[in-house]
Amino acid sequence: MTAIKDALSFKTAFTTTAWVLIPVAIGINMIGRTFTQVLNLPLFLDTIGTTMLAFLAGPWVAAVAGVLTNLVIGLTLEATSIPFGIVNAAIGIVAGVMAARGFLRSTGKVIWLMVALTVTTIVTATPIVVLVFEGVSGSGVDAVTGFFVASGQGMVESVIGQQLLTTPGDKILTVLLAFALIKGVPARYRPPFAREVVPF
Amino acid sequence: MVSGARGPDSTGSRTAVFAGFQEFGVTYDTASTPSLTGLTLELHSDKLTLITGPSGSGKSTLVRVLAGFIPRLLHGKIEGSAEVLGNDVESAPPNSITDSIGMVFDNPFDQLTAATKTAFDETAYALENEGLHPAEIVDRVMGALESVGLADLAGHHPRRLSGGQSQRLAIACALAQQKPILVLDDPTSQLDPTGTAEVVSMVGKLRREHTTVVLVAQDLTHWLAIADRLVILDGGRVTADGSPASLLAEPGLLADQVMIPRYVAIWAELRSRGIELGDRAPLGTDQLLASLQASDGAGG
Amino acid sequence: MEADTTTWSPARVAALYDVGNTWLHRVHPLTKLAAVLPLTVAGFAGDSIRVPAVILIVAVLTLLVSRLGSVVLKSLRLIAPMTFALFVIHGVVRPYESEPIASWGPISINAEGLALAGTTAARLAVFVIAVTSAMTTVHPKVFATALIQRGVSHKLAYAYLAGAELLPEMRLRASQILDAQQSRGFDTKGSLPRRFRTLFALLKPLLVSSLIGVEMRTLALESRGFSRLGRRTSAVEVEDRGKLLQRSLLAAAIPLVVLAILW
Ligand SMILES: Nc1ncnc2c1ncn2[C@@H]1O[C@H](COP(=O)(O)OP(=O)(O)O)[C@@H](O)[C@H]1O
Ligand SMILES: [Mg+2]
Repeated sequence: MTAIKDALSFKTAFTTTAWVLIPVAIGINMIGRTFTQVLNLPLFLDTIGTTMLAFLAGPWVAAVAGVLTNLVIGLTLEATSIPFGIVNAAIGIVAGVMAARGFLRSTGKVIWLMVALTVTTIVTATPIVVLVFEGVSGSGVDAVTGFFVASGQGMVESVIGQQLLTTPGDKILTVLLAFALIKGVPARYRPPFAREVVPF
Repeated sequence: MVSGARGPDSTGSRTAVFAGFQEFGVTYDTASTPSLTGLTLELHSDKLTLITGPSGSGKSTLVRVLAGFIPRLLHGKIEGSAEVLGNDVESAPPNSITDSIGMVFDNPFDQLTAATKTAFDETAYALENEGLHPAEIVDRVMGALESVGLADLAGHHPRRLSGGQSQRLAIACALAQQKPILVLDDPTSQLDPTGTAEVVSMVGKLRREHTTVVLVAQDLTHWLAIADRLVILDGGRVTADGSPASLLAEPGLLADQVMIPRYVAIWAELRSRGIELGDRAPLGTDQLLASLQASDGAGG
Repeated sequence: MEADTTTWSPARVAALYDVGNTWLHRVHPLTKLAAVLPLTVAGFAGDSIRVPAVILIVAVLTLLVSRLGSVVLKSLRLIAPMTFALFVIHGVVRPYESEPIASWGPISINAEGLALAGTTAARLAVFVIAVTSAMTTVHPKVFATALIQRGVSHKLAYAYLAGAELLPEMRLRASQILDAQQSRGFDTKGSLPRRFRTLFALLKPLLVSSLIGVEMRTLALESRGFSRLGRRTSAVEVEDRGKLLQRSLLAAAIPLVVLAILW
């Protein structure tokens, strides 16, 4: 139990291992994006690394990885990704806190985790998409938003509608893929937090 | 089990002990059985101590204790006691041990910071953490890269170096920090023959310059000639300890624990067929040839 | 010593940074970063396209005159798909009360929508061009050093720099794996879930090995004084200057909001 407490405290969560895991999570977030682009999927899968890190090292470490992912992408590739750091961090926090509360222990609970991540994404991303970007993202999902707009919906409703269609699938896959990755890593390489919250 | 053929002091002049293990044991938090147990060992300055043993025998665990990583960073239950440079490994203040022990791992790339764009910056990283003056950092980094033969590649991206170059870069990082002791954990196990040759000659050079070296190697082929002492681990304890030439004089007894180099095996085979080759195993192909020529001369 | 940046291939390191020696390269990195805030705020504050358009025109001209046309290109590449989506969604697709200015069958173009799309695109372009200008003209290591000098944790700087290195590295290795698969005509076979699973199975070893490597990197960093207390220095000397200017730039955001709204 001390491992969970340590990971939940801002003072003790940031071990050297945590700092080394953060850039790896950033890389994994990026691979998710590449992956969906190659397959032409209307998904992002750009928070797999953050979610996985939330299960490995708790909410704060994952939140830092989330913010840094968008900062690194923003400052080295695409400036427009910077505002979405908030979404990425929120996902890290929610996933990490729920992992600490035992939400990885049964299938039923994992479904609630997926629901929570979906809600978190919609609640944090919608204001950014609407206020900063007037509804667009420059990617394939804009077609979905456009469909809602054309049918006479307001901007907020259209963005939420688009997210309701695309986010649940994205988050279900994200959680499953994060699990698959952790499962591939032998227990001895997992940080103490993961040894307590991940049931396999 | 082969008992210590001769004590560690058989290697010649008496030197200071820099690390001592007494009935020492480690059980990782993530393991149910001990990885080291009842291990007693003293390590000497100004020597090259070669440690070998089967996979899983505890070699990496031993050097991780030596480098101050266990139990401070990799947690586990400790038995007995271990002291490195006057610090008890369990109660040593952070960095007191790591500051003095240079560490080179087996994977050439995972041991890089991954945060730098040049071999120069990679080597400078530790010195920046020490807060050294920029001018001194540049001096030390260039000196270290020079001595591992990488000065020309100072501006290259670390990921674009070959495996052998990358291992030499890791050695340069330790040299730049001017650590008195260098520990290498199977540094050639993931290298091709060229890379292996580079690292072997690098370590040989450091030995001639009197650096204290602790070297783990599963394949002894290239190392026996420069080793002052050979320690064999099996099942988490020391099963043999002595000078390489005398320990390997009976290679058959060690076959379960040690990958016997070809030249030693040939020497033993010839000897068992009655060819007089002396009772000290050759430490390289050259030595085998020399003793063959000597026995030839004696016989003919 | 200036880090040698000429020997690694830009294809591998997909960073914005371009080697160069323009006046913008010589401005302190944090001054450039601080300038992003007032510019962006001014661009977003007003109701019309006027403010962002003026900023944009001045910025683009300045960049072109300064031989930094690459910044304009990079920004354009990023902003183009968004601009397109904005014009389609707001100018064409979205229904309005007012009369369209042109229409062909079901498609009609609305002035109100065009204005909104234009304003939004201009605002985003201001932000993108400000960030891209700053980051194209600073070497990542100099950037990190400047941040550490001003009290940013060296551990955070490590995570940023390592992230910036691993990101293109992993992306490259992933796309190599995926491309190899696609060039075998993989794309056309099997259902989507099936393709998905196969591709993931291909990528998994890369991801898992990067996680397993974390233990060794942790020990290596410890061995190099990562957790050591005390001040950090840098082999790259970055003159610590422009603090007042940077603070002024950040503070300027407030009056700029007011001005932009009033204008
Ligand atoms: N971090 C760890 N957690 C749990 N068990 C470990 C860990 N590292 C090593 N072990 C186990 O300890 C034993 C000795 O391992 P190691 O010291 O790596 O041996 P060697 O280097 O000789 O191959 C092995 O059984 C290995 O599985
Ligand atoms: Mg080992």
